[in-house]
Amino acid sequence: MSTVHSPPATQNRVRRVALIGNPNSGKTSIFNRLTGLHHKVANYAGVTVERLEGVMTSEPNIRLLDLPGCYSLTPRSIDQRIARDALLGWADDVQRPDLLVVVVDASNLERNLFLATQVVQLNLPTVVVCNMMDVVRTRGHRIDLARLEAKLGVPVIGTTAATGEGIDRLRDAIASTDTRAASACAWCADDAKSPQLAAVRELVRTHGLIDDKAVDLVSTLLLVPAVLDESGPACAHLPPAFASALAELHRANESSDEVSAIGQAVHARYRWLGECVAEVFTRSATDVITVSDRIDRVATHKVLGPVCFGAVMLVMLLAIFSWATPLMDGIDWLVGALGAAASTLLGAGILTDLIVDGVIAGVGNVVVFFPQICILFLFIALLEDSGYMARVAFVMDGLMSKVGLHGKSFIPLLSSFACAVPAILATRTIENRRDRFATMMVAPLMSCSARLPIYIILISALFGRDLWLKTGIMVGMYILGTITALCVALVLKKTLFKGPTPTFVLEMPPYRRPRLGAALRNTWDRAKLFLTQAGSVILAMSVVLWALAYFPQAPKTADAPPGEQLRQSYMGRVGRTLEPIIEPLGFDWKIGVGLASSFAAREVFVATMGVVYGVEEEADEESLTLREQIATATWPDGRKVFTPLVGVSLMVFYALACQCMSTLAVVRRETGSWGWPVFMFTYMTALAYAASFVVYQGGKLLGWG
Amino acid sequence: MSIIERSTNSDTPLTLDRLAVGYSARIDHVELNGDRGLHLMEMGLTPGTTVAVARMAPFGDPIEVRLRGYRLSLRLAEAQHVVIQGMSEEGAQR
Ligand SMILES: Nc1nc2c(ncn2[C@@H]2O[C@H](COP(=O)(O)OP(=O)(O)OP(=O)(O)O)[C@@H](O)[C@H]2O)c(=O)[nH]1
Ligand SMILES: [Mg+2]
Repeated sequence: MSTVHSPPATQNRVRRVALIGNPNSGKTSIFNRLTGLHHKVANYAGVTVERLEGVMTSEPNIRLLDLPGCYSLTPRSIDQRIARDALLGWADDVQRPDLLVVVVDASNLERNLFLATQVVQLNLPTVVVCNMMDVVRTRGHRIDLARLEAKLGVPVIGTTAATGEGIDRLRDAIASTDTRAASACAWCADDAKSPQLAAVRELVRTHGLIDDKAVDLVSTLLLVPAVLDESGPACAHLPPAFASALAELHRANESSDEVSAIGQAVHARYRWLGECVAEVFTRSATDVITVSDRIDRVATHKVLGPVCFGAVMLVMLLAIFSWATPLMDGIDWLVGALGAAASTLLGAGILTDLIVDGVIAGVGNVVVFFPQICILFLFIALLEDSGYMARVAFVMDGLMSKVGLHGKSFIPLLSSFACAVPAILATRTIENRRDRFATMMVAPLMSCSARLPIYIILISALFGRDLWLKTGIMVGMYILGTITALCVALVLKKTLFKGPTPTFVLEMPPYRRPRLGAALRNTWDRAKLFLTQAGSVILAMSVVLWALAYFPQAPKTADAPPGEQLRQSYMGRVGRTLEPIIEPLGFDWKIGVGLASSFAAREVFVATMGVVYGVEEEADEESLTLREQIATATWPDGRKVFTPLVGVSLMVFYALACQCMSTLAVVRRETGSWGWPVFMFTYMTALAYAASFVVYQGGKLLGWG
Repeated sequence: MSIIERSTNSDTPLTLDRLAVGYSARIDHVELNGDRGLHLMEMGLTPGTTVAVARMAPFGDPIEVRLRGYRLSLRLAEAQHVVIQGMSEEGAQR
C-alpha cells in the first residue's frame, strides 16, 4: 500500500493532491500559483470554506484540491469538517488523496506544526511546505529546513507564495512519484491510552475507516467531545453505521477520563514540537514590537477603534459618491448617445422602440452603476487583504455578545456589504449551528452592492448636489440595515436559536500590505458577475417589461392624455390593481411594478423604471436621463411622485426587503430545507413593508409629505 | 498597578482572565470540561507555555494574548479555564 515502490505505470494515472494547513497559512495562494487559477485569497482565517479543485499547470494528470484551513484534525465547524472528510476520504463525492501537501506558516511554526504532525501521522505520502519564508527573513529569524525534514521524516520545501519563490521545487516534489510517507513518528509514543480508546480503535478497524497505520490517531480524534456531539458539525458525514456504533459506545461508557487522556496527548505533541522548533528555528533577538502592534494600538483602541471603523466605512461611501460620478456621467452620456444614434439609424418603428426603450433604457440604466460597484468591491477586497477584518471582529465582539453572537459573525456580515451569497457561505466558519443560522438569517439585511444603484439613483435624483448630505443619507441606510440585522439577531437568539453564548477563539493575523493587483483581480471577478447579470437576466427582464408596457397599443388620437399608452398597457393594468397595496407606502403603480419586478434581483428596479419612463416619454420630448425623469415624475393630479419622503420610504423598503433569488437559493442549500429561505423571505418582506409604512405615514403626519 | 486585576481569594487558583494587560504568566493547566478546554489546548495553550496579555477589546472582553509567537483573541469566559502561575512583567514584551 505504501507508494515507495510504486510501479512506473502509476505515472500516467491521475493523482489527487490535497492542500491542507492552518487557516491563513497561504494554501490558496499556493494553489493559485500551481494551477494558474485566481481563487480568493485574503488575510484572515476562514477565507476558503469549500473544496476548490484545479489541475496543475503543465501536469494534466495531477489534480489539486485546496481545502479550508483547520487547526487540528478535530473539526469544530462545517468548513473544517469539509477539510477533514476530504483528507480522510470520508466525503461521498471525493476519493482519498494520493499525496498530502501540508502548508505551514513558517513565521508561526510551532502552532502550525501541530496539524502538520497529525497529517504526517495519517501515513500517506506527504510533503510539508514552509510558506511565508519572506516573513521569516524580514523578521530576522532563521529556520533550518533540512533539520526539520529529518525531524518530520517527510520532504520539507520552503516557499514564498507571494513572490513565487520555491514554487517550482514544490511542483517537482508533487510531480515526482517517489514521495513517501514518514517511516516513523517520534511524537506518537505518548498518544492517549484508555479502555474506551481501545474500543473505538476496534470499531475504526472493523469499519475499515482508515488504513492500519493511522488507526491510532484517527481513533484518538474520534474521542474528542466535539466529534461525539451528534448535533455538532463533526459527526455528520461519518458512515452512519459507524457513527451510531460510536455514539452507542460513548453512551455506554461516559467518563471524563477520555478528555483528560486526549488533553495529555495534545500536551505531549506540543512538548515534542517545542523541542523540535527550538532546534530548527532561531528566533531573532530584535523581534520586539512589530508594526502590527503599533497599528493595533489605534485600530483596537477603546475610543479610536470604533471611530476608525466608522471612518473607514464613511470614506468608502464618500468615495463611491465622489470618485465614481465622472465615470458614471460618462456612461450615462454614452447610454443616451447610443439611444439617440439607434433612433436615427433605425428610424421610427417597433424595433427601434424595443431597442431604445427596452434594451438601452433597461440594461443601460443598470450598467451606469458599474463604477460604483467596482469601487465598493475594491474597498472591501483591500480591507479583507489587510488583516483588518479580524480586528473588526475583535472590537465588535463586545457588541455582538450582547446580541448573543460573537465577533466572528461580524466577518460574514461585513462581506455582506458586497454580496450576501458569499457571506452566507462564510458562516460555515461559525462553530455553533444556532449562531450560524442566526447569522445567516440576518446577513441579507446588510446593504449589499445590489442596493447601491437604487440608493444612488434616488439620492442623486431627490437630494440635490450636496455631497455630504447625499453621503449622510447613504450612511443612514447602511446603519439602518446593520442595526436591524443586530436587532433581528437578538430576537432570533432569544427565541428560535436560544442557547448559551458561543465561545470565541480567533487568531489575529499580522497586518500585511494589501496587494493591489490581487484586489483589482478580485474586484474584476465580482464585477464581471454584475455585468453578466446585466447582459442576461436584466436584458431578458427589460424586454419582457417593455413588451408589457408597449402592448396593447393605445389608439393614436390627438386628444389622448400624456401617458395614456402606459396606463392602458398590460403593465399599467396590473400595476393599477397593485396600487392599493403600496399606496400607504407613498408609491404609485409604476414604483409598484418596479418593486414587483425586482423580487428576483434588486437591480431590476432601475431597469424597470428606465423602461417605464422610456415608454411613457413622448417621442418629440427632449430625452431625459433616468435621474431627471424620476425627479420630475408626477401623479395624474400633478403632484410630484418622488418627494424626498417617498424616496426615503422606498429606500427603507429596499434596505430591508429580501429581493434576491440567489440569496434564497444559497440559504436553501446551506440549511438543507426550504423552510429557512421561506422564513427569511417572509420576515424580511413584512419588516420592509412595516418600516416603509411607518416612515411614510409618520413623515406625512409630521408634515414632511 | 497590580499584576492581578481583581483581588482574589488566595486559595482559588489564578486564571488567565485575571491577568492584566502587559503581563505574562506560565500556564499551569487548562480545565478540561468538555471540548472548550481541548480546543484551547490545540491552539497551543498547554501547560508550561508562556502567555502574555497584549490588549483588551473596547468593551473589556475579549482579550488578545500572545503565545508561541502568534496572537489569539479569546473571551474572558474561555480564559477562565486557563490556570496560570508565575506572573512577570517582562515576558509581555516578546
Ligand atoms: N508575505 C507573504 N504573505 C503571504 C504568503 N503566502 C500567502 N500570503 C498572504 O497570506 C494571506 C493568506 O493567504 P491565503 O492563501 O488566503 O491563505 P489560506 O491558507 O488559503 O487561508 P484560508 O482559506 O483562510 O484557510 C493572504 O493575505 C496572502 O496574501 C507569503 O509567502 N508571503
Ligand atoms: Mg484559502
